[in-house]
Amino acid sequence: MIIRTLLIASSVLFAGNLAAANIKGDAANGKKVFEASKDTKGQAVAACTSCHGVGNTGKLPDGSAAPDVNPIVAGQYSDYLSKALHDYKNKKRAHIGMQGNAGRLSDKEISDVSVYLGSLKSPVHDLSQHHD
Amino acid sequence: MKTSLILLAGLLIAGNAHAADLKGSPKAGKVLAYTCTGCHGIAEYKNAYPSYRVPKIAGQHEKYLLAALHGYKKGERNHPTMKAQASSYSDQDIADIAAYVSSLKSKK
Repeated sequence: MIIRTLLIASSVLFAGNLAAANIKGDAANGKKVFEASKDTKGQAVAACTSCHGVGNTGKLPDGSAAPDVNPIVAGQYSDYLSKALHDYKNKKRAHIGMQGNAGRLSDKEISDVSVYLGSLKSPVHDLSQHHD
Repeated sequence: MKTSLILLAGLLIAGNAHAADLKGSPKAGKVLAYTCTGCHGIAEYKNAYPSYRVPKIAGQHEKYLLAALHGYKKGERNHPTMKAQASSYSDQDIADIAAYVSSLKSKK
C-alpha cells in the first residue's frame, strides 16, 4: 500500500516536471499572432515578423535579412520563450518595444506563439553537440 | 594639416570604440565558452525556480548574444547565475564568446 502510494506520488511529480517543459498552446493560432499586424481591437501594431523575420526564414516580410541584434526566436524552447514574454509583459525584463508587444498579448496568446516558434527548425541549438 | 586631420580622425575612432566594436575571436571564445556548457550544453536542461528550459544559444545572432551578456553584466537582466558569469568577463571576453557561440552550426 505504501509502495503503491509512493509510486503514484512519484509519477504525479514526474508528470509535473514534464508539463513544465512542454507548455501547451495552439501553434496554428500562434502563427497568426506572430504574423499579425493588427491587434484584437483592429489597431495597427508592429508584427513580430518585422523584427524577428517570417517563421524560420531569417528574413523580414520585405525579403531583407532580419537585423542580427534581434534574437532568432524560431526553434527556441517554448517554455523559455514563454518566460521571456511574461518577463517583458510584467516589466521584469527591459526593452521598451518588447514590453509593449508582450504587454498586448494575453497569457493564451503567449503560450500559442511560444509553442508555434518552438515547433520550428532553425539554426539555434544547444551546446551539447560541441563538446570535445 | 593632413597629419592633424588623420590624427583627429584616429582619436575620434578610438573615442567611439566601445564594447560593441570589439572584434571577437572564436578561438578564444571556445575556451571561455566551456563554462557555458554546464547549463547550455545539456539538451532540455531545466532552470529551477522558476522551471523552464535553459535557452539554446549556439547559432544565435552574434549581436544579440553581445547585448544579452552586456545586459547581464550591467545588471539590466536579472538571472543570478548569468549576472555572476557575465560580470566576471571583460568586454573582450564577451566579444570572443559571442563570436564563437554564434559561429556554431547544428550537426543535426
